[in-house]
Amino acid sequence: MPTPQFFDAALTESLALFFLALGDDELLLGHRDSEWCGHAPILEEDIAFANLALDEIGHATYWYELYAGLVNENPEQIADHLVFERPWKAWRNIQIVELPRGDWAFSVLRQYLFDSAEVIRLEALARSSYVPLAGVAGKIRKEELYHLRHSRAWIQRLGLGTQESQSRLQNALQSLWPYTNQMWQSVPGEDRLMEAGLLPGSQALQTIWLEQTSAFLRECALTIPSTPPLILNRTQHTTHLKTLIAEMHSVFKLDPQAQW
Amino acid sequence: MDTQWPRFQVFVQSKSGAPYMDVGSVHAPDAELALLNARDVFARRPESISMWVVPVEAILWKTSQELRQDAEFTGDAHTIQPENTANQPYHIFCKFKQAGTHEFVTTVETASASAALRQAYQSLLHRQNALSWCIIPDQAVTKSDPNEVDSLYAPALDKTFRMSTDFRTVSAMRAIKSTPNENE
Amino acid sequence: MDNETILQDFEERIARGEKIEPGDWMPDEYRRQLIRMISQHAHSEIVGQLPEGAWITRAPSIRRKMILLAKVQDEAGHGQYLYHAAETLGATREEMLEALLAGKAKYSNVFNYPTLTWADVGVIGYLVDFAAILNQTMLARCSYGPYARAMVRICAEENFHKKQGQDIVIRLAQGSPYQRAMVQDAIHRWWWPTLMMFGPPDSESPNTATLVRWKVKTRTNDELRQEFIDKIIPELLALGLSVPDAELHYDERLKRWVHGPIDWEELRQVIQGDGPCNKERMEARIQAHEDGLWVREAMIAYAQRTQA
Repeated sequence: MPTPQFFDAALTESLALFFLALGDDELLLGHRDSEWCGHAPILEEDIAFANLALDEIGHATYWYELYAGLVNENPEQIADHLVFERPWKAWRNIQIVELPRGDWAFSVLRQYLFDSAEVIRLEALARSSYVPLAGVAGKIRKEELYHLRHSRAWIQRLGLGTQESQSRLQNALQSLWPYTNQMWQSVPGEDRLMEAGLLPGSQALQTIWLEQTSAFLRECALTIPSTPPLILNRTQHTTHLKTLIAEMHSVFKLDPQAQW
Repeated sequence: MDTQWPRFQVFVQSKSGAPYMDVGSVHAPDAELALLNARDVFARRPESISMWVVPVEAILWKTSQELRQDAEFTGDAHTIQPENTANQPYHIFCKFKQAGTHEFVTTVETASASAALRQAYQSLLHRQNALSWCIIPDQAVTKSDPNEVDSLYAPALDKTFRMSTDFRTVSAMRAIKSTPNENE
Repeated sequence: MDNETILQDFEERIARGEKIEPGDWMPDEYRRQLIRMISQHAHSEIVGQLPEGAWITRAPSIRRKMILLAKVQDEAGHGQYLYHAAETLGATREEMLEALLAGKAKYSNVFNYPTLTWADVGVIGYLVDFAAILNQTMLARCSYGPYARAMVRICAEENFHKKQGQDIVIRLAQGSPYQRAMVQDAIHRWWWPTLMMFGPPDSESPNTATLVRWKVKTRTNDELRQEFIDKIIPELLALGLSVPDAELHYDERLKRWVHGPIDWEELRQVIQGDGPCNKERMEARIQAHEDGLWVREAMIAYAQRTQA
């Protein structure tokens, strides 16, 4: 679809980068979730976590398609191109999603932190003046509400379950909490995007998220860590991502021109 | 003591107006997780708009063979005394076809599951066609919220890659068979 | 009524095409055989997640990634339906899992082979799942209600498994020389294990007669194996692929494909635990089970506390 006429080049680029970033976040989270298939604590969760993974990967393709719409690329080929033909340093995800899956407490908590942020963000994005974005946000929100219900149910039960489950969850929170600040870091050109009614401001959403999430985690007998947040840029990545991408590309690279 | 969690029987309504049907069970620590697990286990493909989950120990099952051998059901209804407790709703499910499953028939208000079965057995129009019965107290049922169809069951509609119809293998093979083999 | 009459009534019910439900009378042997068969089938699905699951992170396109994830998820789902069917007969999942992880319960030997390349994913879907479909279609007519119903559900979903595998194989067979070589190699390695999935020859299957009379099986191992070969060989040949059987030929008089001898010694070894991946697969399952103990316990502790 053609770039909307009222966007100037800078605005287009900022919005496109925003879509790419969200797509990368979802793709990698889905990839990490998929690693649990066949290894979950109980059969029903093998099935449930695979669903989460499928949903996240599906969401990634929607964001990538929005990206394609702004950079005049083919929306049907964009996802594979972005996922299989970019080196790891070119990815624009937040670091929290590239971390290895850890134990069950770690993965379930990461999912909760991401889901709770997404629901708040999507609610705001559904009001965007950019119609395709509002549409995608509305569509994804339906599934994210289910994700949030699922993750909340798990955090509550593990937090208030046994001493072991609570301490594992607390350890996971110590590890993950410093990474959550990056979820709300302003995108480049955010002021202009806000002015144009395209995106909500991140700061306001972060305040809401902090309030809701802290309250919920406390109800689950967890203590919010006092460690300072990590100040990270979406261009910075850990070697975890390097390993992940190398594995993800390994079959594709056997014959990059081939159809698989 | 390690457990695989208690079991909950799952009943699914495929579309508006259709009867709830028994599809199997899920293991879950409680009813909320049972509902979520049931959604992931039984509604991956679009076949549900509503679900019930019930702890398996709350359900009374009787096959028609068992009923024939039970004097309470072959005797006269009037000889059966109802227990002296408050009435509550019990849902009656029956299996009518050999290869079928239990489907919802009606709800009766009685004091116990066996009283509900007796009442349904006496009054059901086609009871001789019922091959098997399943009686569930309404208070044991956890139901999906109809307002949550969008997040619980609608997403399955988009996941067409799970359907065999999404693959064009038949036409691909036909095309291949009708062209000479290039690899020979 | 004496035992002989009861048994006769039971067998007449089955002969009439009636389904046996959990509360009905059934011989101990019927119950025992079914628990054995159903739990073995369930274990196969669970262990079967692993050979293909290993390729999800390496799937070479988004579509293939999602399809494979959905397929492996289905395998878990099938295990779930089957454990349920066994539970209706009085088996518990705790007991069944304990037997599996202690090496006391069997599962389909075909899942003890390694998946060495991406092409293996396609070949498993195309060959192994097609073989499973033939077996499962038969079992969908079995006399035990809950098992038959589980099988109907599984059959409906398995179709997609075979098609996605076939889709991959077609793509590779028609692809680059590298891809063609990859898929041919995979066929060579999976051909005989797939034929062995149907079980030993009828002449060496002692249970078959009783299971057929009780409509637990309605077709024999050799019958299903023959149907498989007759359907798949023409397709593989059309794709320019061969199978590692020098004696395979079409018999014009019998109007069917005739295969060479199967190495049953290999099957015996793999069943006994000497297959290439038995140890590794079991270790993975044991690991998941042990790692998950604190999770399962915590969830129960919460439930007990909030319901108290």
